[in-house]
Amino acid sequence: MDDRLRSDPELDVARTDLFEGSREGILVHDETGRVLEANASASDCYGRPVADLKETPIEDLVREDGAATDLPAIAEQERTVRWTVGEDGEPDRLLDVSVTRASSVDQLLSFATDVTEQQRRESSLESNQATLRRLQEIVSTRELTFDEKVERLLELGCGWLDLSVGYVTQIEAETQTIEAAIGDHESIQRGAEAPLTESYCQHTLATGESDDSVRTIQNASDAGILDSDEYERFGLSCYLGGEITVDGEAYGTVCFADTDARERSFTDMERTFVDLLTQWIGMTVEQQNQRASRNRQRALLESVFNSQRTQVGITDTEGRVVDANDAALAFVGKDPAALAGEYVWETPWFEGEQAHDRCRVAVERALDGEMDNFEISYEPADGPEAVFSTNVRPVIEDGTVIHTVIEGHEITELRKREERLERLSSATNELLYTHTESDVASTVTAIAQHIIDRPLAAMWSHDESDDTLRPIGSTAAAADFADVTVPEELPPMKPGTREKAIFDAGEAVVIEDYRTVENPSAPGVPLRTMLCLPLEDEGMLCIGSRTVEAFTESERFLLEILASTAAAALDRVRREAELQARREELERSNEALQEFAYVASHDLQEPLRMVSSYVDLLESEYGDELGEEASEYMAFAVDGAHRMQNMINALLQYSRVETDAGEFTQIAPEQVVQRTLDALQLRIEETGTTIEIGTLSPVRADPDQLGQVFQNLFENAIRYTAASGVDPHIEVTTSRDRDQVTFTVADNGPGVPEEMDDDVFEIFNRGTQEVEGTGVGLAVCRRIVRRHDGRIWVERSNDAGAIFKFTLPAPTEATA
Amino acid sequence: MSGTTAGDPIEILLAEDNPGDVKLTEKALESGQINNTLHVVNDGVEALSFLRDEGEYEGTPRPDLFLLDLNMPRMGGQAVLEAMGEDDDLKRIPVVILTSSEAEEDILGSYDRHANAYLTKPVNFEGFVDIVHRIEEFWLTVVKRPPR
Repeated sequence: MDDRLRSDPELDVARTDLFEGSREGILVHDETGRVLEANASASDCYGRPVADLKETPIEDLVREDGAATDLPAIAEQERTVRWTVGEDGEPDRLLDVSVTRASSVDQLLSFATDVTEQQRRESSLESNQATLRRLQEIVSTRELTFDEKVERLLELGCGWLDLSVGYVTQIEAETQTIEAAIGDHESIQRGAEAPLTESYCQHTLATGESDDSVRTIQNASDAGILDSDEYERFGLSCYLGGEITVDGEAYGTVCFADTDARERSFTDMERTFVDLLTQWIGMTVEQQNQRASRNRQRALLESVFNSQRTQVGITDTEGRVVDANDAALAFVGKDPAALAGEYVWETPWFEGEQAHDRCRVAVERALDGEMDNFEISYEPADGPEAVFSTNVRPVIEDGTVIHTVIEGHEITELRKREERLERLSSATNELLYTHTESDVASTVTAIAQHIIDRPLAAMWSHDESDDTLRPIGSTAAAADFADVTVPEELPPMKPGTREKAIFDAGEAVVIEDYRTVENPSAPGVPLRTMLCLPLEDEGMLCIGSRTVEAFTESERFLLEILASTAAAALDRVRREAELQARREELERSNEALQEFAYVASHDLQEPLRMVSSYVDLLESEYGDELGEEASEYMAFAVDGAHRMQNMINALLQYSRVETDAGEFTQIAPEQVVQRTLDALQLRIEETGTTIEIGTLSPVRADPDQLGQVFQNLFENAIRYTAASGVDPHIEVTTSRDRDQVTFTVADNGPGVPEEMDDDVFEIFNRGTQEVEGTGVGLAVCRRIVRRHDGRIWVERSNDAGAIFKFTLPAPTEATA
Repeated sequence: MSGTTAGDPIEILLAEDNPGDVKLTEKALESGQINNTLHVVNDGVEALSFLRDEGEYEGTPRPDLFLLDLNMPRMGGQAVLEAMGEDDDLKRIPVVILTSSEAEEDILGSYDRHANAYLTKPVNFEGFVDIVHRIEEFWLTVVKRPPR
């Protein structure tokens, strides 16, 4: 100490205050370093009471061996030294110490500053930096897998944070699954699951919603979670966890924890570390997901691209080949290098002018953003023709065509099947023009031969009279094979034979080997496999083979279609034959009727004329010699002959409805009615008949025959009405209903007796015997109307009179 | 043969298979005004023989008028017309079809084969006589016939 200060008691006091009040730990040493005096701060610095410090050699206070404790030297060099001090069992303290020689006294002063905290901070900072560096290293080490990286990061974290447990969880459906873990905690191991409600992470996820995405627990008891399910389950006293999000969704957590509480709170740096970890894991998982999805897509594309069935080529925006799949390359027998850069339409895939041009058009369209499709066929010199369906489409990215993709599918088989079906279909049409069973059979067997290439085809027809299937046709090959000259000589299939039984069962049957069949219909024929196709009730189609072989699905399919068509054709042919027979019969009977009418007009009249003429002659030459009674008899004879002749004429008229028929034309009935009235002029005048004609709808009819109808109806009306003593009045009207016109001819006569309504139209049926008539007029009317597809009927009016109605077709739209 | 007119009788050939009609024709001609000779054949074959002066008809006169029935055995009237049409000598002989047929095809067929008239036989005797008289009147007096 300074003498001046020492000699001045006031200064002494001040000096003591300074000494005691100093924040530096000040020790007063002798030349050897032994402590003479210590202030309060020194006590703090060295961690010992002042009394304990006194008389202690400095060497004893400094813990580390070899530390610089030569105080005079330190003072001389004006150095600051760092000492580690502290008693055993106490935390180390770091002191920065400088030493000064007190003037005029052989004493030394040491001034100590406690740098323990400062040092700790510094080293922590270093540690942080190292940790971050390490983190960086780990995540960027290419050789490590994701799982390995995660494990190392957890280890890094545990070491740095001085916590025993580190883990990563994935949280799904309210369950926490440990994805990775380090540490010995029994519940925190890879693969362990726990309900989310019993996990520490539930709150971590919840914190994820706030800005601070990391949850920290320094001490379970302080955090007040000792009663919680999470503590119960895991018993973690301290915890540091952050939420991992993947694609914006909560994925899981990264956590570090320990069963022991932590003395210090978690630093921002520690939180950041966890945050970084969560971000890195989240990003990596996202990338993995994307990569997985990309890989899947790529695998899919690859598999499509490398399909064996589809040939794929890719061009650039000029149509030059940039890639082609194996199938495409194999097809032209080239390696990719040989084709790359060529215009795709110049490549061997599109050889030939037509294919070349078509492909070029399609690629140009694709480059304009349109899809195109075309078919090309190849006819290689050494193989069968192959047909390809080719799609050309653009690959568009951001609205720009960046490639075209050309895909070729071989459709040869498809085309072949279509062609077969087409041929079957057109052959089926041919069947429509067959008119005999044998035509049907030769057409059907020819189809079988051409379409499925089975030359041994033959057909049988069922003869109901003896329940036997008789051959009606076959291919020439089948006849040759069975050693017959014409198909009709093939063996019939009689009841009791295997084939007949198949026909009866009605189901197609494949006979594997004909040689093993019991009761074959053709035992001598060296058939092996035979397909029997019953044609409903009509017959049977058999397709045979010289060897034992199977029929393919496709063959059977086609043959069954053929069989059903053949059955329909046979049925049609049979019906046509029946119809033809009936038509011929009808024609014969019609001819007979006309023959009769002709005969009636000639031959029946002759004898009648004889009767009447000679009765006349008898009367004129011998009348005087005969009595009055004889004259009366002769009059009866003449009258009978007359009536007979009228009837014959009527019959002739009746028959002429068909034989003298004219064309149907569109006619205005007024003209026809007028002509009829002209013809009847005399009768009309004689009887005082009045006729009223309405507006009549046009019809399609034979004008002469329509006139005949009117004439007969008018004659009847006049005759019967006049006979009843009334001046006849006739009204003619029409009404049109869609495609037919109904005519009404009404009179004021006695009408038709009720019991005769329909009978009046029968030939030789007459309303009354008292009125002269042939009884054929209405029958002729009905025959004419029916020839026009119309009908005629009689109606009764309240005020007597007959009402005849008949329908005729209205003119068709085109002619109306 | 009887008649009120003198001079060469008119030669009439009648082809008719029905004896009743032959008789009626004879009666009608008897009652007529014209002196005529009626020759009768019973079918078309005989008629052509007569016309061609063949066989048993050799020496028979060429008829001034030929009354032809259509329906006859062996050869009908239409066939006779046909044969006459093909024969330059015979086709000028006036032919009147006298038949019971009213069938259109007979009428048309007859005119097509150059028959000069087609008449149907009336039902009663009076009518028949009337018809024959009209034929006589028209063909034998009014009409200028081709020379024999």
